[in-house]
Amino acid sequence: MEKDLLESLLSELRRGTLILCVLSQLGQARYGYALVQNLEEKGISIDANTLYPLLRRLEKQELLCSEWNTDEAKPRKYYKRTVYGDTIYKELVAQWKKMSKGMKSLIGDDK
Amino acid sequence: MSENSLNENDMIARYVYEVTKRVPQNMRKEIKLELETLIEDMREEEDCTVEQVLEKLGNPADFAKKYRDDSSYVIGPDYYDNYTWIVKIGLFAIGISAIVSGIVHGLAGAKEFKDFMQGFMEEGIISIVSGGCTMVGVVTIIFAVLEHKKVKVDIKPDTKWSPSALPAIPDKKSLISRTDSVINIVFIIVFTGVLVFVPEVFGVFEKTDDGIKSISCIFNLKEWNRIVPFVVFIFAVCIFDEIIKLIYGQYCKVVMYSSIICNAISLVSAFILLKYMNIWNTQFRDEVLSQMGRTEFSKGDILFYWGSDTFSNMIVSLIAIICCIEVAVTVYKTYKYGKH
Repeated sequence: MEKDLLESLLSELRRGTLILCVLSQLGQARYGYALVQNLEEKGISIDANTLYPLLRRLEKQELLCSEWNTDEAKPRKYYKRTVYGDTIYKELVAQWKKMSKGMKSLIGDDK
Repeated sequence: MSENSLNENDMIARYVYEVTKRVPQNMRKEIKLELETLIEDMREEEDCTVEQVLEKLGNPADFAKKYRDDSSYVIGPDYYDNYTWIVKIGLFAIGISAIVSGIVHGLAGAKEFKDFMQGFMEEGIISIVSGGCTMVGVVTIIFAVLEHKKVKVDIKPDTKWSPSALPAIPDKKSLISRTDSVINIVFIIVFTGVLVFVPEVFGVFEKTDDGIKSISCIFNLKEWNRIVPFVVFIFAVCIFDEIIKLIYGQYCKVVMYSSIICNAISLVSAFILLKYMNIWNTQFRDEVLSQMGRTEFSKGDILFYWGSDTFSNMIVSLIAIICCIEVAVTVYKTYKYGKH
């Protein structure tokens, strides 16, 4: 029970940061699974079944644009930040920095 | 083929189908491509079996839900496309019956074109507004019930989902033609509209100097207000059955039960309506006879049997035969092609 609660709290915590994670990596065009691996390498794990719908939503919100690449054997959809996406991303980063500064003062900076 | 020997390609196809059938129509093609590539990529990169990949991706219903921004709906995205579509068809059908009803009322007692237009507009507008509201109401209630019920239906497979237990992609022969359902729905609505607003169409007319006059109607118009709700109920049941077919799109248990229950209800209702509710105008035969200047019909004429039980019995038998054929065909196709 306690473990479930912790799990759900953690996933809630992650959900908030996910958009920022995704936007940060899409200055260059990437397809979904490459992005999963890319984030994994940097210690951020995200399930494909969360990421794929999220990419679609961000595209609908015009933060991302996409293009199908059908030149290779497997067709892939590449996502990239739009100009609008860039603006929002910068704003989010600024907010994140402000927030993490606040968090540091709240819970301390453990070494 | 047993479920265990399900090959990997089938498993992928089934998984993708289970996801895409739950997302809006316009997203399906892309999501299908996207998922197929993703599953292939994951299998290669993470060096595992398709089964493990699918386990990792999780329940297709949950996956699809994330694609939809789900929350609570009166009519959710699963049904929304069908809902708006049927409402449009319904409005079209109501439009047709409103025009028919407008023309009939316009012609009645119209000496000039102006009178005709006045009658036409008055009756047409009344028919469109009240018919349209009734139709939208009935369709909305049906869909709201389906939406509510679906929650229960979907919860069950959630608990024991596994990649190897994915249901098979339906056989082409088990698919129900959308066109057939649409034609049936349009026909039912037009017919209901005419019965409700211009029952006198089913009768005899005379052309006089004052325009076209209704002489006699086969229905008991004096008690029509009492009979109409019953008629509407029967046709609502028929529409419900058609909508179920449209939504499931293939023969399966739900479609079969719906067909059996709806046909049984309409048969019983039709029996009561025809035998016990004085739906027929008992004077119709005499009114027609006096108009024709004759005193009796010959045995070959259908009107010879008018007002007798024989006439109602013939109609009830006809409806019973149609219902039985419909149920028999549905049951046969469900067991032959449908998923159980």
